[in-house]
Amino acid sequence: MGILEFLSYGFIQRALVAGSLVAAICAVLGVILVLRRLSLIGDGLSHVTFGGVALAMVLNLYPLAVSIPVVVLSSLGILRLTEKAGIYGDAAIGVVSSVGIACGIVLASVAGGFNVDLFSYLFGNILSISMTEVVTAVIISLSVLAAVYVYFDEIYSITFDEEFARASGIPVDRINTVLMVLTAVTVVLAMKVVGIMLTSALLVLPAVTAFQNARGFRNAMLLASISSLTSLVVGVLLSFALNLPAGASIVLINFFIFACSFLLRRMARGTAS
Amino acid sequence: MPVTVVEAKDLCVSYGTVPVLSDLRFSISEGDYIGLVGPNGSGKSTLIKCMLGLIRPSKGSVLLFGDEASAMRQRERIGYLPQRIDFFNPRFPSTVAEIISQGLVANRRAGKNSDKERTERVLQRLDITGIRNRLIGDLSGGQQQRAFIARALVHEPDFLILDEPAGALDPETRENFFTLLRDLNEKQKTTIILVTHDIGGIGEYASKLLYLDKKVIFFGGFDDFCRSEHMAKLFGSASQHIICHKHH
Repeated sequence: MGILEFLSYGFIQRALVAGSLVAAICAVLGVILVLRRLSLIGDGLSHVTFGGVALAMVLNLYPLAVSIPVVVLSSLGILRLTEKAGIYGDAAIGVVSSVGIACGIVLASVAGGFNVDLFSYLFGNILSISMTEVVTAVIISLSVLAAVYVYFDEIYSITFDEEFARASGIPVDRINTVLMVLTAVTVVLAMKVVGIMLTSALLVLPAVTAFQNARGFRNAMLLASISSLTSLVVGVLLSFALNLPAGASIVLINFFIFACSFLLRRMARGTAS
Repeated sequence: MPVTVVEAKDLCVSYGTVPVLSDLRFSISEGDYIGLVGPNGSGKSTLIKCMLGLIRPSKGSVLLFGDEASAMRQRERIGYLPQRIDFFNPRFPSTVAEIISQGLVANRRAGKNSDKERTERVLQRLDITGIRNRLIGDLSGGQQQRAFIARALVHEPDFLILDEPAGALDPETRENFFTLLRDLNEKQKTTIILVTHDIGGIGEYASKLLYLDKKVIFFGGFDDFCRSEHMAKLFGSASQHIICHKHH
């Protein structure tokens, strides 16, 4: 089958459009989160997403419509636990994450056990993405990218030196809240691309790949986006051609690019010394 | 009449139940160059954080250009260099130019011009044009320090707060840096408050000395400090002679 024939399938077009946008926002937010030592937040919030999907199934509602508010509220809960209750960030993520998954298991049991739909959210199925989900992904992804673009200077300043950012009059708490909301929405979107189990990989792997050779903060975001988009496209192609699960293929390609970048950096350093 | 830049009114700060600053009362005017000295744990950094609005007083207040420090909006008027420059992740992918641009955010938020000329000017003044595109983690301590000094100066603030700025600088760079500060103070009337342990050295540059040890021990001219009973009491008569002799 030629590439043009491959691209003529509607489900492939939908997967590439929605997947590329989600991959891009995961890469951009991932750079910020990893540098702020919040890598695990993707993992924590994706567990909460599981609870949100299970709740949607019990209520017989559209999963994204229920998951987005549930995960946004949980992300704000993590922020408040860290700021107000004096709990360390990773511990706060652990608390919210475990409550989320426990609620999910109880609700799934109430809904009659783990069914095919719930499994599709756990492991992702980008090739089954609907037109409604594509439109949702486009609107939300463009909103996230616009927010990062508008607040780029402030976000960079907070990420590098929060104290200096506060002294410069940047509304650090407000921007942290915006970042948490954007992360929450992104995690829910990523669930359909790679599944709840692998969402955090989409946030962390492109970022750590970019850090191997990045020549600045902007450059890191650009490299992470390129790495993430490449993984998405190659992963979708491979999964279709070899009949492999798409989410896992995307994550493995991401890891392959990271390993290559890591080795390239080591070789470059070896040559330099 | 000179403009009052900082005014501390019965300022008290406590961490929990532990008092760190007690009943501070002083005022800094436009064009003052203040050396802030005191032993470790005397509250110097806490006072600076109060001035920046990062810590709220438990009693009293600090006014900055007439506004409560924590509510002060004209942040572009302040330049700040933190005490430790090793606070950041050395693997953070950030160039010197990107770090300096952080100093322009307050200007941008105030709708003021923050074009490349300011960045070029500060790069040249601190002799770091050649490292503008280098990653901060790849630089020596002195080069990193100069990048952070550039971040504090780039928006040409009216009031500079420098917390032990010269620690990592070599003697020549240190001399140039203090000459630059003197120029800013004399020609542009920039108000400067500089935290240091070098009580002898600061007398060469600062117009006033603020000696802090949880409360204001002394606030006035360096010559007056040399003549005061505090000097002999704090440093002994032998040190007093050396420090004050160096100044004269």
